[in-house]
This record gives sequence, C-alpha cells and structure tokens, in this order.
Amino acid sequence: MKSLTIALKDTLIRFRDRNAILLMIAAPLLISFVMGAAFGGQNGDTSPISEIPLIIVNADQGDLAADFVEIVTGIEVEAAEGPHPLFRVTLLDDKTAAIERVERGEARGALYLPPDFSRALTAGQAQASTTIEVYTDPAASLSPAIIRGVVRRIASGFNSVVIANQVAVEQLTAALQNAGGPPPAGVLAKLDDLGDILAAENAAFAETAGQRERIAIRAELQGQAEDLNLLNYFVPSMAIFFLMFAVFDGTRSILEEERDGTLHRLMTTPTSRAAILLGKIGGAFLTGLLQFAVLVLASWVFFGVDWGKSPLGIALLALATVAAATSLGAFVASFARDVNQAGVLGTAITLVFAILGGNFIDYRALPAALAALSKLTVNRWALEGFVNLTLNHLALPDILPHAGVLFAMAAAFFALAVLLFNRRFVR
Amino acid sequence: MKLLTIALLYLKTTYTSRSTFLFSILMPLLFTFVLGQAMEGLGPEDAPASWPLPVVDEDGSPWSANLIARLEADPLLEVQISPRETAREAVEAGEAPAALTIPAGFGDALQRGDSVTLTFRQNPEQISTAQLLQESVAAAAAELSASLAVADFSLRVADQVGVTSAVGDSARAAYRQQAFERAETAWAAGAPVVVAAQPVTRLESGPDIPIGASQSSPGMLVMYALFFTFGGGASLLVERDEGTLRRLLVMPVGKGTILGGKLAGIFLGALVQMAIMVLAGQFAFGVNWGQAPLALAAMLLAYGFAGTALGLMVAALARTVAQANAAGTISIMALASLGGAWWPIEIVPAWMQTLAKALPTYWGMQGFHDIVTRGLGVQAVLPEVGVLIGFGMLFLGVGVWRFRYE
Repeated sequence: MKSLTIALKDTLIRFRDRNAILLMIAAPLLISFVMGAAFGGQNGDTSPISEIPLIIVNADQGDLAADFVEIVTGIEVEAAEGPHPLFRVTLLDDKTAAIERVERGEARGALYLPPDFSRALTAGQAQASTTIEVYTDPAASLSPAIIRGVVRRIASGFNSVVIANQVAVEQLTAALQNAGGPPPAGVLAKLDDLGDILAAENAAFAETAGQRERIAIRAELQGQAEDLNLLNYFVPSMAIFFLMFAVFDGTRSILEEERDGTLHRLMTTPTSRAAILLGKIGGAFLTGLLQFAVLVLASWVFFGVDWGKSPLGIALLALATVAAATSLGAFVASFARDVNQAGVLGTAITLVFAILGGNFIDYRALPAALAALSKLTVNRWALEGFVNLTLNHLALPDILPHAGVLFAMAAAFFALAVLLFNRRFVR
Repeated sequence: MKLLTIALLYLKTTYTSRSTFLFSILMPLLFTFVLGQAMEGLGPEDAPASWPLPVVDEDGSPWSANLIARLEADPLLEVQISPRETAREAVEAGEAPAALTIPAGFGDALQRGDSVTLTFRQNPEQISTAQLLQESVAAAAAELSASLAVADFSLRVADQVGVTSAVGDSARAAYRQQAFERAETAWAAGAPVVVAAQPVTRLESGPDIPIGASQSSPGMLVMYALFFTFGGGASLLVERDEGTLRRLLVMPVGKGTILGGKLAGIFLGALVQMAIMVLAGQFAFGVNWGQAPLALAAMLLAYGFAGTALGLMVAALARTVAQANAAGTISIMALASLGGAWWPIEIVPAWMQTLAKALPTYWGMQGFHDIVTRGLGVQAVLPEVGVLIGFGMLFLGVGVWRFRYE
C-alpha cells in the first residue's frame, strides 16, 4: 500500500537522523534518569534524603548535652544505597557563626544547646525550662521539617525520662504513705537501691526508644495507592512530553516538503492526495509509536520502572496517546502558514499542554481553574491513564475511558486536519 | 561603535519576531505562575493562623478523647470531629489539607500496651501544609505515647521495689492509671526541654510556609535565560549557514568585532529577558527580587555572561543548526533539573547536590535564592558571582577558539 510505503520511508529517515535520536530517545531517558536519581529513593520504606548538613553548637558542659549530640549524630536511615547517617554534623563553638552559615545556605540547619541544658534536666520540674534553638534554611522545604521532627522527638525522649523518674518517685512516696503501716522489710531494702533501680530503668528506657512510640501515623495521599515511587509518574510523563515533540516534528515534514517543492512532485504521481497525506501522517504516527516503545522498554530494563500488570493496557493507551498527539500535530500543520509558524506553534502547544497536563508537576497539585484546563489536554488524559496503570496498579478497564477520550480527540483532530489539508492543496 | 551597532541590530531582529514574544516573555511567565501555584504560592499575609483538621473518631474511648483534646490545644489546628464520609469529602474538596482517622480499638490497644496506627489522609494539592499539620499530630501522639511510657516505667519501678508485686491485676492497673495521670499533669506544667524552631532569613516578612514562587521564579529565570542565549548561539550558526556571516566578514570589520557584537547583542537580550522575569516575579507573584538591588544587578550580569558564553560554546561545538538545537535543548533541561531550577536542590541525594556544584545553573540558583529567599545582600552573592564569571570565561574561551566563521 502506497501510504504504508511513504510512512515507513519517513520513519526510517527519521530514525537514521542522529539529532532526532538524541531528542527522541536520549533526552527523555536522560531526564528520567535525572529524576530517578533525584527522587528514585523515595518510597514508603526509604528516606528521601540523608546526610543533611547540620551544625550543632553545644554550649553546655554536661553529660546530657553530650548524649543529645551523640544521638543526633548517630541517627541512620535506610536510603536507597543502604544505611546512611541522616545528618552530616559539624560542631561549632559560636552560635552566631552557625546561624550565618545557615543564612548563606552552607548548612540546612543549626541546633543550639544552651549552657543550662543538662542542669535543667537533672534538676527536674522545679527549674525553669531550657530551650533548644533550631535554625533552618528558608530555601529548603524538606530538611527543616525533618530536623524539627527529629529534635522534638529526642527532646521528648529526654523529657520523658525526667518525668518518668519524677512520677515514679512521687507514686512510690504516695503508695508508702497510704499503706498505713511501715513498709515490709523487703521493700525497705529495695528502697535503698532505688537509685540503681532508676538508673537501670533509665538505661532500658533509652534502649527501647523506638518501641516507646506506641502511636504511629501512616500518611496517605487522597485517592492514591501507597506506591510513592515518583519514577513511575515521571517516566510516563517525560515519555508523553517528548512524544509530542517527535510527532509535531513529524507532521511538520508535510510543510517542509511543501516548501521544498517535493510535495508538489509527489502529487504529480499517480498516488492519490489522500494516500500521500495518510502516508505522511502515518510516518509521524509510526515514529511516535516506535519512540514510545523504545522508552517503555529502556526504562523498564535500565531504571526498573514498573509499568504495571497490564501490557495490553499499556499498548492500548500508547496507541491512543500517539494517535491523539499525531492528529493534533497534523491539525496544527494543516492551518499553519509555513514550516516556521508550525514550529513555533507546535513548540508553544507542546510546552503549554505539558505544564497543564502534569508533565512537570503533579496535575493534582493544580488549583481548580487550571485543573479544568488540564482536562483539555492530550497530556493529562494520557498521563492519568498511565499513572493508573503504573502507580495505582489498576487494570485495563480502568483506562478505557482515557483511551476512549484520546481516540476521540485523535478522530476529531484528524478530521479537521484532512479538511484543512484538502483545502490547502487544491491549488 | 561598530560592535554596538551589530549588537543593537541583533536585538532589533530578535525582538521584532513574534516567536520571541511568545517564548521569551509569555511562556516563562506562564511556567512561573503555574509552577508557583502548584508549589502553593501562599504569601505570609495569606497564610492562615490555623487549619481545619477533620478527625474521625471510630474508637470513642477516653484515650481517643485524650488525643483529640491534645490536638484541640494546638493553636495550629482547628479540630472538626466528623464522620468518615464528611472527612473524606472535606479533603477531596480541598477544604482541609488532611484528615486524621483514629481506628476502633485504639484505646484497647493502648491499654494492653500494644502499638496502634492512625491514618492521616492528605490532599496532594496541599502537601506542604499537610506535612506541617502532620508534625503537629505526630507531636501530640508522641506526647500521649510518652505519658503511657512513663506510666509503664513507674509500674516497673514499683514492681522492682516490691510495692505492687503482690497485689492483684486491677490494683496494678489503677497504679498505672494514676502514674499516667501524674505524667499528664507534669507535661501540662511544662516540660524541662522546649524546642524553638525558626527559618533564618533577613527578609522582613519571614515565611513559615515555603512560598512556591520563591523557587519557581528564580528557577524559570535561570532556565529561560539559557533558552534565550542558546537560541542566540544557534542564530550564529544560521547566519553562517545562510552566508550572511561571510558577508559581514567582507566588510572592514574585524572578526572579533563581529563576534563580539553578536555576543553583546545576545547578552543584552538575555538581560532584558531576565529583567522581565524579575519584574513579573516581584509585582505579579510577590517574590522579593528588589530587596537588594546591587546584589541582583551583580547576579544578573554574571549569570547573563555565563549563559551567553555557554550558548556560544554549544553552538561552536555543534556541527549543524539541528545538532545545536537538539543538544541545546537536552543540555538546558539537564542543567536546569540538576542545578535546582525545577525543584529545591536540597531534596536530592547528597551526591547529586555535590555534582550540581559543577553546573552554572546551581550557582545561579544559589545566588538568586540568597536574594529572594534568604534576604541577603551583595556580600553574600560575591562567591556565586565569582564562580559564574569563571564559568563564563571558560565557556567563552572554548567557544571563541572552536567557532568557525564559515
């Protein structure tokens, strides 16, 4: 079939062009790799970041302050590459210097332990409380919350020990007073050892710090499964983004041939106009499909991206997405004045659709007005479908609406493109 | 001066093109806006003092009541006891950043000494706020856990001393409960160690919640400046291909003047581009660009220089216009994402943050953050300015050496 020949020829030419390969395959893989490296460690079990630069200024001479510093320095988290210290601690003597470093962004936070720290803890409730000062980098969003959370938990642990000892002694005193008579001999003997008993319990208390957190909080995102691996969002996202570039480029080739005169020459052959157009658009379609297939495979093999349990779903959605994108590209080419205008419009539409459709930021994070616009884009329907399969582990029936919308968009744009092309080439 | 003439001519041809308007002005502003919105562009004036938190109490025990009372005491939270569906709808509709569910059996589990998990369902559109609220909820839960731990502690000590070892279970339970109540009183009276946290910024209105636009405005400026300068570099190649560069060489003007003129034009155009984004950031999005004019000028000049030189270098190393465009697009996206223009650099692994220091975009972002987020002045940005100038000299050297005029 003539159209198929034209389509295959165009596809072959495109895949032989090194620059095209660079943009079509290398670019999305590279960007996905960057995002994977940046966020890939983030799922439920591993910590998003580690080795947070933290400065500690310990103005106290006592043991408890030293313990506090040791605990902070010793915290390890399970990162993607194995256990890592949560903080990279620098010890300074000067609080002002420490704050200045955080101000300049050289550290994400600074802790200040005041001179009365150990004393406040050993003296118990009677003393005025002591304050640990925490200073954080305003340009950071994640580290400050982590630093605050950790410091509060450790402080809470120290406070707990103080209060535990206080309450234990108070209660014993009350129990003995209420007993009415003198305490039995065994108890009296043990009371002599109270100091040791408390010390042993304190040590045990410290050891079981993790188990003491009886109440755990499990955070969930509304309407989403627990899989937080951002790579499963961004790889489909970048695949769609770069697909748009490729098919817009492909459909523009009709206008290039128009400019160079080769289209006119093609039209003098016995091949029908319709077949030529179909061939050209088909070439862009095949290119897009091939690109998408390569990206899916490469990302699965090299980055371990989970494309979900439904290969049929992926295939159907990919077909629908490439069809919609190609038709949109054909439509833009059909009414553009020339190659340049088509290029400018194409790039503009690609970028606007990308940002509205959730290729750069989660589309659920868009405010209401923009969220409505988002639903007008090819990108949004495609991405939501893929995310359903990859992130939410849904099945084929769940993406049928998305495939349906995309095929409908494809049909509509294609019809318009054919109409406009026919009018254009009747000269 | 001939150099200046060439520069101005470049600017004129560039700015009369409609696509320049689209890509240099409209597009970057659109991106800044949308990205800033997505990262919750709330200014300190807009940030409410407290947030609604629907709480679903499926337990109804004194323990859940205790936790709820603690949450109600937190000034940051407006607790709303709701049924499950109402809470779910509130979060979905965006009326609340998150909802907390206390499962049935909560009280019994705590009574037995077992662990229990609460569900905190967040709205992805308000993830930063939700995480802030999560800290409060976690703090309240930690306090309750701590009181329980104190109660257990006291009972164990009493056992070892021998005061409670001989009595029945209910007496032990009563002892533990009393210990718990004493612990609660002690917490209420004030814990010995208090934590006071604050972000350090010299800006007058220090934000407690990250302003989305303070990241996206400099981020988009850093990226779009490169789109402009790389486009300028590519235009040099186009002129070479179309033969107009050769025609310029025929004139009694030195090669250096021609190239210098073109580069000056690109540099000036980049400055205009960045100035537009700074103005838009300041007046449309409330970003604090203007608080240190000298620092800002130094950074813009240095980054513009580095970007222009980089555009030249990429053009010089590419063999065709198509190659320059392809390589340029990939380079810009890689430089922007790795350098911290798309997301705050601090959320990536440590090794990536170290790697970023080899990129001019990283230094650009650091310098701009010093100004808009940290509220610092010209002294603070001098290191970044220096590094950017260094990059610029390097790129310029390679670019001039490798650029072929025909």
